This record gives sequence, C-alpha cells and structure tokens, in this order.
Amino acid sequence: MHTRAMTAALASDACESGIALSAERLFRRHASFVASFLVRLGLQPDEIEDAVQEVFLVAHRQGGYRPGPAQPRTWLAAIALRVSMKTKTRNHRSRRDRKILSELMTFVGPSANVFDEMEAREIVQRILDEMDPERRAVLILFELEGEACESIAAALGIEIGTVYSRLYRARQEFQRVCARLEDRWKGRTIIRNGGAA
Amino acid sequence: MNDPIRLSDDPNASEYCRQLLKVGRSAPPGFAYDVGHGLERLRGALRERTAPASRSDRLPGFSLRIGAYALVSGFAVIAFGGSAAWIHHQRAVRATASNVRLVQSSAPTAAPPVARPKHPAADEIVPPPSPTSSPPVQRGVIALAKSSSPPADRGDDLSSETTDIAQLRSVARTDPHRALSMAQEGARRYPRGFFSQEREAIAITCLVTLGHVSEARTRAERFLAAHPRGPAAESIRESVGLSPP
Repeated sequence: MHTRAMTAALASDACESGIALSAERLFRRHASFVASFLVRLGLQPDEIEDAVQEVFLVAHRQGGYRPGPAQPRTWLAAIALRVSMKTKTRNHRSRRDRKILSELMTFVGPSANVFDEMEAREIVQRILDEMDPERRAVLILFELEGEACESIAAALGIEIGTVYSRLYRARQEFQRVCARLEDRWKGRTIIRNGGAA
Repeated sequence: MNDPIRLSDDPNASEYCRQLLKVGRSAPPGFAYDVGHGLERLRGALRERTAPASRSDRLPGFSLRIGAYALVSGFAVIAFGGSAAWIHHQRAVRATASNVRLVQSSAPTAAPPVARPKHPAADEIVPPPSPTSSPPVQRGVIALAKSSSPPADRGDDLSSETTDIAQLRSVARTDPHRALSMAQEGARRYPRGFFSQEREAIAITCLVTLGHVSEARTRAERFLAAHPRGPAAESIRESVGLSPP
C-alpha cells in the first residue's frame, strides 16, 4: 500500500511540470525545498516559518502554479527570493551577515586535508551570505539545486543571458572566497568540538 | 544554448571549491522544517483568506460600476459642454440677426452705426470698429470655441484614462509587478483622475499579491484616512485586513 502510494507520488512528481498545481499541493511537495532555499538566501531560523507561509500564500493568490517554461520549484524560488528580500530589508540583516563571515575567516575552518561536513555547510552558507541576493539565488538554484538555466530565467522573468552572467559572477565570487579560505587555512589543524587537535 | 558545466563537476575548479559545493547540496546547517505543521497553518490561513479573496474577486464588478458612473458623467460633461456651446451659438446667431436687422434699418441713412447715438441698442450690440475689438459674430465663435474646448479635453482625458484603467485591471490579474508601475504612471498622468481611487485600490491589491503587506497597509491607511467612505474603501479594507470604522 505504502509502496503503491510512493510510486503514485513519484509518477505524479515526474509529470507535475505539465499540470496546474494548487498552493496546498505545491506545499506538500516543495515546502522543504522552499524552506531550505530561504535559509540559503540568508533568512534567520525564526523567520523561516513565516516566510514559507508567505511564499505559499503568494503562490495561492497568483492562482497556483501554471505549466510553463519555469518548473514548479524555480517558480516558487522566484517568489521566495522576493519574500526573502523584503524580509531582509525589514530586518536589516546584511551587516550582521558580513560580520559573521569575517569572524569565520579568522577563527574557524577546515584544514586542507580534513573536512568536517557540518563546518563545510556552514562555510557554504557564509559565502552565500556575502553575495548579492539575485546572484546568490541563481547560484543556489543552478549549483546546489541542479535547476536548468532556462527554468531559472523563466521563473525570475529575466533573459537566459542574464542568468548566465549572474551565474558567472556568482561563481567567480564563490571561487574567490574559496581561494582566500584555502590560503588562510592551508596547513592548519582543524578545530573540532571546541578543542584543537 | 547548453547550460555551463556545474562547478562541482568542473575539473578546472579547485578541489576545495568542488567539495564545498558537493557538501552544500545537502540541507543547510541547522535546518529542519516541519511540513505537516506548516501545511496545517497554511490551510488555516487559506480558510481565513477565502472571504477577502472572494471579495477582491468582486473588483471587476466594482470597476464596472465605476466605469458606468464614469460613462454617465462623461456624457453629462459632454452634454453640458454641448449645451453651453449651443446656447452661446444661439446667442451669437440671434445677436448677428439683430445686428443685421439694425444695420439694415440704419442702412438708408448711410451712416455707420457708431455715428448714430440715437440708437443705443445699436451701440450695445455693434461696438465701434477698433483693432482690439471683434464683431459680435466673431465673439460668438470665440465663445463657442472657448466653451467647447475644455469639455473636449476632459472627454479625451477621461477616454484615455478609461482605456488605461481597463489595461491596468487586466494586467493586475496576471502581472502585479507591471500593474504597480502602471498604476504609478497613471497616478502621475491623472493626478485628479476619475479613476484615481480605483487605481489606488488595484495598486494596494497588487502589493498584497506580491507579499508587500506592510507597504500595502500603510498605503491603505493613508487612502482610508482621505476617503473613508469612498467606493474603493471597502475592497481596500478587505484586501489588507483592516476592520471597518
């Protein structure tokens, strides 16, 4: 029974880009993605719940997802980007984010040899926090979520060339910070669980 | 056009960078989202919003009413302007006719009307021929032109504003972003326009649709302070969730 339900869900997932989806159905399928996208866009944990609700309420007011070049996830991501920008403007987070990255660069980080997964995720998040929100959204969708540029362009309402240029700049920025971190931490011993090894 | 190769698969990117991106694909740090709880909350919010949403759907009906008022008022303005012009025209014609009669009656004396003070009526109607004054017929024409031009302009404005508001209504349903800028442009073009209240109502609804709730609320409060009983007041109150006074 459970397997059948799972199969049905998977089949439905496969063809969902071709059908209209209500806000509730979208929520069941993509709420986790939206929440994780909002976290990556730099919203604080206490803001996520309200922001996710806002994204799906906007989706509902817009009549739900309608099939088009944008996939449901990228369509929701475009709404989430607007919601996050508004929330961040309201709460003036950007300065705080910058401070966190500078602290991170001074005190913590993996060595060239050892990678702690949690720390690595934290580092990715801090690098993302440094970016302009529009470039950041494109980088998240393309590099981390594996979405196609065409779908991203359709969802954000921009030309595909703009997606490529934002992606190019975001990748440059990401690689530049990576290079700085790599230089700084080269040969350093990793600090884990509050103790130096 | 093919998408570029992803950095995590790009051999030219540093190992450090590729590893970071691969790890970054899993859920962000400290992340856990309770979908069941969120869904319950969303359902509640949708239930609450059903009434305002259905009322905001009434916006086209409201617009039709406003449109009808506008049409009637437009006709009234044109009719009034036309009547005024017609009255001016009739006066001018009558004046011309009496002038002609007077001139005809004074013709046998072969003297200009100005030189005949015994006919005060003629002095009243036919002014002395000076370069600064015009004959009554011309004055009538000028009066006609003056009285008819403002209603025509108003009619043109109203007509273009009606077209604009119709476009705004249809764009608001599909592209609230564009509708907002159109509403702003409309407010600039028609600062005292007939549809200014409806334009503001649409702009506020679009702000709500886009999730700019606080801005929508601020604008709604400003609007309601100015027009607490305006035709758009109720729909604005409902779209931002303000209670009636």
